[in-house]
Order: sequence, then structure tokens, then C-alpha cells
Amino acid sequence: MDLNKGRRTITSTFQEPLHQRGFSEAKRLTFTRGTRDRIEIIAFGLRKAKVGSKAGHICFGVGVGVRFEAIERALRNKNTDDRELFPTVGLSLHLLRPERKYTEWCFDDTNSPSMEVISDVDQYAVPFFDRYQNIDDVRSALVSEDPRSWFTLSPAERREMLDAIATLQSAT
Amino acid sequence: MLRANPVTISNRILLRLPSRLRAVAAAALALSLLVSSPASSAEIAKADLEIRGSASSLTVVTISATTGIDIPVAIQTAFGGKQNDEAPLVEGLTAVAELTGPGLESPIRLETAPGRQFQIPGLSREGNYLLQNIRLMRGAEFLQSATPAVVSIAVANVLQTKVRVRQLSPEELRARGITVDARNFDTFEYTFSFFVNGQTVEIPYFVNIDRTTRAVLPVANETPYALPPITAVKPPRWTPPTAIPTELVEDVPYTPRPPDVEASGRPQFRPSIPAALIIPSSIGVLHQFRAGASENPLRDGHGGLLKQIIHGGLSYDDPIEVTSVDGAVTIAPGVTPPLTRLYPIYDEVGAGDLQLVLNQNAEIVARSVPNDPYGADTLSLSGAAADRIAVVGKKNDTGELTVEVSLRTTETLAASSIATGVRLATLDATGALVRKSAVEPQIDPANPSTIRWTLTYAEWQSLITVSPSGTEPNLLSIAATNTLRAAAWGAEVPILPAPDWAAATQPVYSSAALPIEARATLASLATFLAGIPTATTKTLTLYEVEGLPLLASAGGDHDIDSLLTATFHAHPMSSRLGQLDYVRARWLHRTTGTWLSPDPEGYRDSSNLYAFGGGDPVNGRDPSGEARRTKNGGMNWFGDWGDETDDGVGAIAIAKNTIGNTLSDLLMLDAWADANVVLGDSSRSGNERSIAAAKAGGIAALNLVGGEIVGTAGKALLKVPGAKNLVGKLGETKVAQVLATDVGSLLTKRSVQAANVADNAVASLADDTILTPWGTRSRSTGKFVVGERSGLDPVEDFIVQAEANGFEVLGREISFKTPFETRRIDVVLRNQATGQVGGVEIKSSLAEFSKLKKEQFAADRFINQRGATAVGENARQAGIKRIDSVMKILWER
Repeated sequence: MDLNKGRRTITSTFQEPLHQRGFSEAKRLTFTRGTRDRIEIIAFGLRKAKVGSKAGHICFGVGVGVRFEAIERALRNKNTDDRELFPTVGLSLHLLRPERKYTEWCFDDTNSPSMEVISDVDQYAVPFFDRYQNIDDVRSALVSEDPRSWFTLSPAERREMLDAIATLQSAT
Repeated sequence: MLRANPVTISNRILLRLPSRLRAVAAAALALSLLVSSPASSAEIAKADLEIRGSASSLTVVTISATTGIDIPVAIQTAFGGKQNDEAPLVEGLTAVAELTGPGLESPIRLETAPGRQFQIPGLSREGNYLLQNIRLMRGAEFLQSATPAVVSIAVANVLQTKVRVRQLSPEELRARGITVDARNFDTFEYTFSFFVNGQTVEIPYFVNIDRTTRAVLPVANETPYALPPITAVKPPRWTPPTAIPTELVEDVPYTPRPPDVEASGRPQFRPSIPAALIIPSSIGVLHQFRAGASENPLRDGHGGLLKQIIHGGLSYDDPIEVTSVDGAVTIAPGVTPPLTRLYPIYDEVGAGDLQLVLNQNAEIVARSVPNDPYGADTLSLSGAAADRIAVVGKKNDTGELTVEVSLRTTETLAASSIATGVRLATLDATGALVRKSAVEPQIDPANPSTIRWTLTYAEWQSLITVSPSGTEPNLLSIAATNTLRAAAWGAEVPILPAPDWAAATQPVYSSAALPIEARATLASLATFLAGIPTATTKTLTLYEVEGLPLLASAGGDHDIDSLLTATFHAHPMSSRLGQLDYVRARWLHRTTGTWLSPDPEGYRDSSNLYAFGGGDPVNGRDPSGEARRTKNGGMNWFGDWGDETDDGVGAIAIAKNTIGNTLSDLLMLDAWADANVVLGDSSRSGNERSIAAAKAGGIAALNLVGGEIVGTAGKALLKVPGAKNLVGKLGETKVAQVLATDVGSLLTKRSVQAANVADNAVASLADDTILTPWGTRSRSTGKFVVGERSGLDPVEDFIVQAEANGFEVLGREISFKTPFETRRIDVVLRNQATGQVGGVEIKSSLAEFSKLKKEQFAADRFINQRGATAVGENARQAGIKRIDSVMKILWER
């Protein structure tokens, strides 16, 4: 299986179950739902394992995120053109699990991990979307001193985003 | 709008007059009004009396007032000199005034009883208001103007907030009880000012700014927020790889140290480093505190505590914990191997060399003395030793003899081992035991490393007399048995035997039961004792190695051997926030892996004055910041070419040095120099020296013919005429294997270095920052013994280790946009303790570095200097937008 076939397999495997949960494919490997101001994103990234026990297999990770247009405009992120659908705050699904260990799923000849992934989506991704309904929810997470609450942001990015949120909130 | 009545007009006229004239005119006007009043005399009699007197007038007490927006204020009046309830109440009399100001379209008429307060309502606009034309009225009849007749009321914004910011000096910080290091933080005092009732109230608020992240740090004891529980993040711990170390050259059989020692007194075999694991400079994964070692003699020759800094972001005085598997233990498949934890301690005062190796109980299991006074390059030690044995004769004033026999060791002895740990006896001419001394040995209280027997003349005579069986004693024997222990060493570590060179020149012997024994003939002792004058003390030293710290023996422990032969070195001091290491002659910037100042030795070891280890930190060391040392201590002679002229200063010298170093790189003379060190070391095993000969011969052959070898380097080299003769006894197969690995690596390294030269050249044109030698930022960090983990993805292996040490993986194979190319990074990590995010590019072999294109080096440098934006599917999936640092590491499987 090559990467392009892997992409097609991911799309065909997860399109329907995600559609049942209100998500549609906005671009390749990226499923979204919500309004333009707040978009909930489930994205897939994949690689072809070259060595080790998974050699030759297509392995993929699942990420969840929420895009707040107001924050993106305030930050003026170059890579956050809304066509790119980069989440404002997001992370890989394995970081929502209690153990936070790196996890990826692989397609092999006999196994399709679709049920496990959808189960994780229901168990971890949906509560994530519920938790970050508005900008203040994001701010509440970022003010924590625990870096694990900073999504994937570095300390400097976290500070920038808090400043952007403060600017937005003071303007209203 | 008020009607302009005569009274109003009069008052306006009055207001324009000078004060004295105004008072006179007002009195006349009041009198005229009273005279012309139509009221009856009976109605006004009392009032007339009160008003006419100076004490009966209406006066205003509050002559001006200040209030806030929408805040009422009162203007006090007095009537007859009395206020409020004390003021006389006269029916029909009122105090009247008009309020004007910026918030009022027309004057507001206000009334109150004379002597009471005018109640000014809350006013919604700032500005100055006038309560004017204050007067005494009886109904509509004007009686008298108040004194004064006008009151000014200022309406201001009470919450007039302003913020002043200034940076506090360290003295001011201390005065406020803030304990921060001014070098690491900027602290600002924000003063919030409130203007309340005419008074300014200031509230200072301190803010600490982290200079590195620019994040606001909470001030101690002032934050209302509770920190997350400390158990939420596990402190970083090093989890050892579950692997068995193997030799770098696999076909060279492991030769354990033979039970007997060579003439040199040192082991015949020193294992090579199986692999090199480079710890990323910004990841402090090997953070482990040592405990319980306070009683150990961890002091250097200057009396200071041995301290060490290990690269990789560790802080001052953190010992490093190295875990490896005892290679002698056979591990069944699927069984977790037993682990041994060792703690190497490095000398900070010296050149950062390894000094001690402690076990988990903080007991010394090995000691290394790089510059011992007896000439060996390195002594690897595994125990305490006896270094002086003497007999002291004392005669008092009456000529009575006392004999003291002493045995001194290099370290404090364990008291519990003394009773059976030493022996004072006499022997016959064949060395057989005749008699043991009945005198109990004692530890010298002034010197706990010395044992002493004190014998009276009678006890001495009893010791040297013939045995009950009739055996004639011939020798005095003073010995340590194999149960004598030093306090700092493990219970299994006996006193070491005397080195062979000492046994060859002094009357000292070693056996299994008696690791060290000194002998003296009784005849010579009798002569010595007889020659001592009355009231005199004399000493006869039987054995002494003055200054001998310890004896040499690696003990055959594979792990310890590996540690002792690894090329660690310590940095005396590091600045965690500044990412700087003080390395004796210069400061090293850990992130870039470059020195901050040019080499004080000039172009001695490299054409790059800022390169760590001459630009080759994998194979070289740079313990002082002055000159690169090869793995085995060799110096590249050709790199010095030019230093002999003009002391290395001047254009010609620089040119010659540069040429010398370039030629040195091209001709691989570092490897040549290093190999010759091994060749000349008689303590090395035959295999090691043969391999060194092969390397040296291969390099020489390669240089002689100028061949360019790629790919299967060993096979190609075999075709070079003369190569086989140079490598001597190893044979074709071994030459092929040795050269395919070692020379092949050198060749690929050379090509990378060549690329790096070009890379730096490009950077020097485009960038005014410090040049970054290839890979040094991630490769100047140290080398650790790891084992082979065949079949495992090195990135997955790295992830497992990183997660076990306080990191979490944000994503894999994330692409970042740079001006040079879109750079794909293997792993993006976050340090859970600090929140720092960084990328790690993992190479599983040295050869993989050669595959990196010039653009990739440039891209990495760009990321480390300016950061890069993430692009692509994997970045979106992982939620990663940006990265500010990336490091390349060598993670061998």
C-alpha cells in the first residue's frame, strides 16, 4: 500500500462513521463540522513505516482540534488560512488518552483499526469539542501552569494566544 | 431659566466689586431692603435682631468642594454662627442658591434651612460647578447675601487610573522580599493609582518576566492560583535500554581480563565503546540525584568536592546515571535483564575527566587517575590499597624499648574488618608461619586509615622467640588479609595487591589470602632496634609508595570498563537559562554547539576557530576549549603545521594552518594520530593494537594512492597494493570488515565535513550569526553505552525512551517550511516539565548524516535561528503550527 492508497483507504473507511457524527470532508483527510466562526476538526496524518515491525505498512494518527476564526485573525497566523483548516487549538488523539503515550494505527493485510479509532473519537474527541465551546474555554486551559494544558503550543505561542484572547475579550 | 430680579442683578454687581467695597455695599443694600420691607415689625422683630448683628448673618462654611461623577456632596452653611440643629429655626426664612456648571443647561435652584446643608445632587459630567448667589430669603423676599455667596464645586473622575512601570533594581527586589535572580528575570513594579476623595491611593503589583520565554511568572506568595499537584508530572528519569552491549567490531572476540596481571600491572583488554548515543543538548533526560555519598572521599587533589557537569542541559553537580547490563550475565529470551546502575563522577577542577564510579549505595566501585605520579596514562582502580608499612622503635629515658608496627592504607578502613583483616606474625626461612602476635591491632584515632600494633619489649620478645615446636623464626610479616575493607568500598572489594613494579623493587608480596604483605628479617630488625639511642624514636620503613592514591585494576567488570574507557568529560559550570557551559578556557553555547569566542590556541586544531572539538565532537574531545583531543588522547600533528612560525599569528601562519587542517581532514590524520596512540600503548591487547595498525595502515595506503573509496570501502581498499602487507597478521577478511566499518565511517564523515565547509561558507555570506558546524549542537553532548536492538525502528525506540523520561510526543514526520526546503522532522516533542517544544531528527548511523543535503543543514540552522511554520497533513493532524528548534541526534540501534 502506498501513501495515496492509504489516503483513499482512510477516507473510505472513516467518511461514513464521521458523517454520522456530523462531520464532512472539507479537504483531503480533514473532516469538519460547525460554523465558520468555530470549526471542529478531525484530521488524519499518515506515514509509511520503513523499518521495524511495521515496515511497509501505512500508519496514521488522528488529531482533533477547534478553529476559532477570531483568534486566528488576531494572531494573523500565516499558516492558518481558513482553506488550510489548521486548528487554533488541537492535538493528537493519543494525548487525550489518560496515559498520553504516542499511538498510531496501521493498516496491514488483515487488520483495519476503524472501530478502535471511532471508539476513541467518541470517547475522547467529542468531549474535547464539548470542552472548548468558546474562546474563554481556551483561555481557561491556557492560563494553567501545567504545560499539558497548552495543547501543542510552546510557551511563547501560549503567551501569544493568551494575549490575542485578552485583546479580543477587552474589545467586547 | 431664573428670572433676572433686582436681587440677582445686585448680587452680580456685588460680585464684580473689590471685597472690601463689596462688604460695605452689601450691608447698605441689606439695610435699605429691611427699611423698605413691607412686613410688619412684629413679624420680623426677632429675625431683625439676629440678622443685624454680626453673629446673625448667613455664612457658608464649605467654601469649595470636590466630588466624583454621580456622587452627591453637601455644602454646609451657618446661621448666627450655628450649624445644623444648633442653628436657630426661624419660620419663613430659607437659604437659597443656584447651581450652574457644564452639565446643566440652566441653573438649578436649591434651598435649605439657614445653617443647614445644601444637598448637591450627583452630577454626571466632569468640570467646575458654582453654587452661587447664596442668600437668605423670606419667601420671595431677599434678605441678605451669604458670606461668601459663591461656592466652587469640582466634579472629577474618581477612578482616575494610571499605571506606572519601572524595572526594579536588585536592591529594590531584595527590599521587597522578592528572591529572584536579577540575571534571569526582569521584574517590573506596576503601580495602580486611584483618586478617591481627593486622595491618591497607590497599589504596587510586582510582575516577573522570564527573559527567555517572555512569560509572566507568578510572584511567590502573591498568586491566588494553586500550582498543579507535583505528582502530575513525573520527574525525568532515565530508563535504560533493554539491551546487551556488544563490541563495535563484532568479530573481535571479547577477551576477559586474565586472572593474573601483566607486567605493567594493568589489564590486557579494554573494551571499545559498542555504540554512541548522543544526548540532545536541550533535553535533560538523564537527571538523577545522588544520595548518601557524603561520607565518601569524593574530594579532588585540591581538597574540593569532586563535581561534574554533563552535557545535555543538566545542572551543576548533577551526577549522571548510566545503566547498562552486565555483559557476563546470560539473558533468556523474553526475560528482563538485571540492571546495574553506575554513577560516574567527574573532576571539575581538572580537565573534566572521570574520577570515580559509584554504585547505587554510593560506594566506590572504580576510580580513574589520569595523571598518576608513576607514569601510567590512566589507572583504573577498583579498591583501596596499602601504601606504607613501617616498624618504629622507641626507647625511653631508661632505655626501655617499645615496638610499634603500622600498616597505612589509602582510605579510611572499616573498623569491623580490622580484627581479622590484618596479621602481624613471624615466619621461618621458608616463609611458613611460626607465630602470630597476641597484641590486638588498633586503628590510629588520628589517622583512621592506619592500623597499629604497639608491643612492649616483653611482647616483642615473645613474638620473635622460637615456636613451641622448635621452629626458628627468621622473618617479621606485616600483612593485610583478604577480609580487610575500606569504609567507602563495597563489602566485596578487598584491599588491592601491590603493583608489580612495586613488588619488583620493594619487599612486598601478594597472594590470594594476603593481598599485601611486607617482610623484614629479624636480624636486620634486631640491628635496627639495637641502634636506637636512649630517649629516641626511629622508624624503619619496609614498604612505601608515597602519594599512591590507589592501585590499578579494572576488576574485569564490563560495565565499569566501558565507563572508564568512554570519552565523557565534564563542564565545570553551566547556565541553564542561558544555554551556556563554562569550559575552562571558553564558554560553549550548547544550542549551537559553538564556542562564543575564538580558539585561544588559534588554528591549532581546526580552521574553524569556533568549532567544538575541532568540528568533530564524535571522535574528539575539547575538555578545555583549547585543543581537540582524539578519542585516545592523540594530537593531529599536521594540524599544528604553521604554529611553529610566528606563533600562529599572521596571515601566513593562518594560511598554513588552514591548509594543514584541510589536508588533515582530507587525509584523515586524526584517525592516523589516534591509531598510533593505541599502537604505542603496550597495555593494549594484541587485538586492539592490531586493529589500530589496520586503521593506520589503511589510512596510509589510502593517502598514498589517493584513492577515492565509496560504498564498500573495505573491499576497495583490499585492492590497493601494499595494504595487506601493512595490516600485518589480520588477514583479508578482517581487514575488509574492519575497514568497511571504521574507514568507511571516516570516509563518510569526511564527505559530510566537506559539505559542512561549503555550508558554513554559504552561511557566512548570508548570515552574521555564529557559524554552526554540522551536527555539533547535538553531538557535543556525550556518549553512552547502549546495546544493539536489531529489528526495532530507531525512532520508535527513541520515542519510548523520551516518553519514559518526561517528554510527550506531539507528532511524527512533521514538515516545516523554510527558505531552503520543506524540512520534514522525525519527531516533535514537548518537555512536560518546562513546556518547551522541539523537533528531533534521528539518524541511526553515522553514515546517514552524509545523506543530508546542504539544503537540509541550512534549513535546520534557519529553524534554530528563526523558527519555522508547520505545513501539511501531519502538522494539521498533530495541531502543530510552529517549531523553534530542531536537533539531529545519532541513535544507534
